[in-house]
Amino acid sequence: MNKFIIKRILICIPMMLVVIAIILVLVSFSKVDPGKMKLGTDATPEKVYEYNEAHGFYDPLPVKFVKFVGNIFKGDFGISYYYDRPVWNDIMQRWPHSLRVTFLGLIIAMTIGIPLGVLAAVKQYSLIDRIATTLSMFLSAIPVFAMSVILMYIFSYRLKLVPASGIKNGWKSWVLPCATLGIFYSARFLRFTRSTMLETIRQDYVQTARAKGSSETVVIWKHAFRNALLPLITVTGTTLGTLIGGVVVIETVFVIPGLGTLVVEALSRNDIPLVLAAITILAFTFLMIMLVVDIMYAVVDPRIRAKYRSTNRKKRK
Amino acid sequence: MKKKRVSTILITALLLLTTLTGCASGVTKNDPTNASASASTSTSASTAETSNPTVQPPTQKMKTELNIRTTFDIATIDPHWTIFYTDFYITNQVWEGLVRFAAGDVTKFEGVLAESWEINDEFTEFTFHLRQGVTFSDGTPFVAEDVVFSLERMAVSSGMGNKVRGVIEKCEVLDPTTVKVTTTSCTPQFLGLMASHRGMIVSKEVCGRMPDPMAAIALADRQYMIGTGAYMIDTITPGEGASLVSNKNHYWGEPYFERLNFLLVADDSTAVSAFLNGELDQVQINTRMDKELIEADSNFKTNEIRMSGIHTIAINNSVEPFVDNLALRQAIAYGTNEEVYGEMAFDGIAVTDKKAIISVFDEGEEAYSEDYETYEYNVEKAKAKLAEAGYAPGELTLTMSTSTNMVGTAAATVFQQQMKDIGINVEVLPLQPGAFQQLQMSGEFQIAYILFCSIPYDAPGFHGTFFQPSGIAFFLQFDNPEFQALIAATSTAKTLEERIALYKEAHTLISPLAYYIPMARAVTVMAISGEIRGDSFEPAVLTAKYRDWYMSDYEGFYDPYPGLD
Repeated sequence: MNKFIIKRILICIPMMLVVIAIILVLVSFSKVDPGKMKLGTDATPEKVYEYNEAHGFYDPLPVKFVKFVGNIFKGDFGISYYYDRPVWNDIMQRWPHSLRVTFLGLIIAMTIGIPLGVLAAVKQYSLIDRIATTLSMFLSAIPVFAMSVILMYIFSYRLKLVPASGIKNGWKSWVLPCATLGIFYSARFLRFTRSTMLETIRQDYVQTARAKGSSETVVIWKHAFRNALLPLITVTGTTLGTLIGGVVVIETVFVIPGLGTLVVEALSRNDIPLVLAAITILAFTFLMIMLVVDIMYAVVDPRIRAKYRSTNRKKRK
Repeated sequence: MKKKRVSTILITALLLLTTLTGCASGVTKNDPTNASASASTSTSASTAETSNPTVQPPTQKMKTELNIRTTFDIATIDPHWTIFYTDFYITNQVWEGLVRFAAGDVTKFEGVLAESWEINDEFTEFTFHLRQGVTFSDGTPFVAEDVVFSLERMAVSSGMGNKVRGVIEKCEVLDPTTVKVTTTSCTPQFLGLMASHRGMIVSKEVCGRMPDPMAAIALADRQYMIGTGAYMIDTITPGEGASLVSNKNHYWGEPYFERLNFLLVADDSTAVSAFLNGELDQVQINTRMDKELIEADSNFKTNEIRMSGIHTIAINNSVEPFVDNLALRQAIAYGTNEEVYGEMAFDGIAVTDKKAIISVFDEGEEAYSEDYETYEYNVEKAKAKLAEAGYAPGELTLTMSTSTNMVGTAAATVFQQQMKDIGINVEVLPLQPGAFQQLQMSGEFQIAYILFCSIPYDAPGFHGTFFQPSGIAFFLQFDNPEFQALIAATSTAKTLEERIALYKEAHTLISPLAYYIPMARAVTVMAISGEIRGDSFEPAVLTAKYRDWYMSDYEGFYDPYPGLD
């Protein structure tokens, strides 16, 4: 198992190198002149050249690649064209905010979606099932930015319960953004949980568990739900990966200084070092999430755990 | 039975939520009932005491913090290096210049750090008599050497460098309160340069502590962000904004607002929600709907600021099919209906009177005139000109580049439709702001939507940048030596009347040539809380001096410049 994990981590390295190379190539197609962007229309050509030279703008692509990768190991992700300071500072300042919104939103989504999905599956064709299914379609149909504005209007403007924007009001600042994300993605978890549970509760071993006299709660949660977990873990992983990079809408609407807005702002300003560093970190995070998903498979399912172990034993022989 | 119970519970919950929402609508943070109650209390108190010569303002201010929206993250807080408006808003509170534009008249100036000045007849010597008793916010005295140092620093900076470098021959201290600047040539617009965003005075002593006094102040180095202004930097948080506190040592006394919070709110709808919620006190309004919503609420008010800027269809006159093709440019000019742009592209927040928009500059500014030749909207004439240019209807296809912001996209769509009406096909090329700016700089476009803007107000500088071949933003790329000679002459014209005559002659020359086609004059609408007084925005620099602002509870008590006429 440990070898499997180490192997997966090592595979991430060439994957990251490929991602970095692709980004650098794409960026090289743009006709960005960071000197003109930063110094403005009043700057002389000499000043512009000096600025570009200092920021390695005129280096050939392979040199830029080697420099960037080499600097990563030193913890240096480059200097921002716009802010004129190490990009790492800005990323690390904003990264926790994005993570907070993402994880809290995901927890809310799972807390709402999974139990409702289980209930809908267990009470298939009942009123609860119909309400849950309709609700999930309704929530999926509303774009997240529209939901943000609606919730902001109700809970912030009308009811004055929480602030409309910013993060300066303590825990209250996080209620609306996390709730918006949570409600939106709960629909996905609801539908998926319902679907996998419906498949699982019809299996023979569930009937056997009932026949053995186990309570319905034990049958559903210990036997059926546990077997429905694998696909749920996959969905959780992919949702988390999507959220990590895609929470920019929430950050923009609720004025959360997160990594998503930083990347969008950096793109509009052609702040290449910031874009490069942010995408590198996002790609790395996504790979780690997928690794955790694979590990969770083994944790949850003893069959997969046994398969990893038997693979290693065969190799030793 | 069970189903009925569940249905009843759901309907009840929905009704409850609706009721709560409806009840809350009458309660706002800026509740006029509460505000007027407290105001009336203090007013009553002050009215009662008016007959008493020792009448005092309320002991507790209505509001001590002002929350101002910004749309971009802070890049640089260094008056000589800033190029973005968010940064100007902040540096304008922390630092001051020798002079500033007079309110409502950009051809006149008011003394700030300079009490008075003399200019010789040749406009080559500017002698400034400095204000006494001024200190920087850290207590460092403001001295004549600071002016000399600041001018040297401006000359090497990227922000001000081009305008000052080569203009100043020398700057000398005549005595502790007098500084004389000698320019290399006749420079009538020198005071205008000093009144701009970047003509601010920094402390030589403070900058001397920096590793490189001439380099830009890094955002992390707040200890060098020391000015003579009414406010000081307290915190700068990337991605969130900045917070300023009042300068208790300011020579005019402490301002009303003790704290200014510049909050980054990129999304317009969020900003309006936050404003209506009382979380913001000033916000720029970009849609008619928001403007009407805010104006309908007596808790708020709006300021409309006409800018020295026009939304234009900029033609790259150096590329086909526009090279030596006046008829084609005229066809586009005749086919342009400004009123439609005003309504559809700028949502009614613009000036579309043709006479008022043919000039980039606004009424009262020296390059403004309503007498330039204009092209009245006429589809038939446009079609005739297109035929004269050698194109059959539908034969010509042009590419219009625009930024992906809301205004640019809307303007391009209207242009596309209007050109279709006269027989020209238009493909719109939307680009991210950074990419669009690059495109403009490289000159690789046929037509583009561009906002020609002279902020800070600087008529000669604007013409030099946008209308002369040596200008870095000479997007129009036209070749007209006679025009350029007239514009060059404005830099050395000694009197306002001479400059006005030169501008008039120059623009009378090119307005029939339709090198660019104006769509509308840009208007900025600022919404602010209704209880704020003294609010004003300086159109020439499009910022406000928040020292001048106060709440209604101090009306009749607060004087931002005590003793000054």
